[in-house]
Amino acid sequence: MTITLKHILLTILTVLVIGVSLFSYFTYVDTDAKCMITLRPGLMSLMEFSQGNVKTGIRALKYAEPTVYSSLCKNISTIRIDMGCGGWQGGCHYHKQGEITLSTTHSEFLGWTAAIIGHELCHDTQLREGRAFSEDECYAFDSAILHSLVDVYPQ
Amino acid sequence: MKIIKVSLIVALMYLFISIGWQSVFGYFSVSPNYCTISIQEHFGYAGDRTRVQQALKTLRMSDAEAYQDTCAYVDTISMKRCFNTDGHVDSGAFNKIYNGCFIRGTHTVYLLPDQSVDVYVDTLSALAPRARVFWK
Repeated sequence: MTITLKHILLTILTVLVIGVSLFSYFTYVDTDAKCMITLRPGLMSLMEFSQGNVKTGIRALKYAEPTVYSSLCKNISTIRIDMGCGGWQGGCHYHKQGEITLSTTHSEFLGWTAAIIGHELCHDTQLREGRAFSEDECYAFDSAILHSLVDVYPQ
Repeated sequence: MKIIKVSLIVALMYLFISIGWQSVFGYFSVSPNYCTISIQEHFGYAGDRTRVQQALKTLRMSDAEAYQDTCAYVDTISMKRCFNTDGHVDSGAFNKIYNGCFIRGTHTVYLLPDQSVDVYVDTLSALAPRARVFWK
């Protein structure tokens, strides 16, 4: 069997396409903001093969809540995505700095996804600053994000 | 030469399948301007997709500006209830019923499921300018 240049190019192209697809599935990347967050899928998001809801939620923060987005990029390196954490469309922080967990699927309400990211980021900030976990502070934080992001009609 | 032909055929097939899919499960139009919007029905509310498609056709005739804004700044219409505060902070958060909402920082509009075509037209014509104002 002879290996031609065509075969080599096709192999490189295939490896590149698969590599880029896998990389973009498992990471959120924003080169402008120098932001990279690893997205670790759980069973549900693996079954759906979509992490689009979380990525769009993060992007919503980028454009509508730049301060929160900046803090997210600076402090969170991993978002775990799975069902069964904090109730449906909830979130968790397991006292591991820089890592949050979300329970969401691709078709959930984007405003809530962004707000829950903010809520868990708030817990991460509490941990980083050595403060006690306060749900009240983080509920107020996610509610403010919801209010800012969700433009309802009629008002 | 053969690889170019195959690529062209695959690209054309992809184009036709995409247009067909969007026409059936979303909204697709090329006149007066190119418009393609994905419509996501809420589980258990069959029929909303058809009503939203009708609402977009009505909007095209009744409010050209809002229709253009919708086509330019909205890529997804999803059928789901909107809320803009957390129930832990505002106990009445889930009692408020809104006809729809635009999520700032996205190109997504949510519409309340199981409403009439007229309600959808009215809601889209109110939300489309807000999407334009946000993104402009």
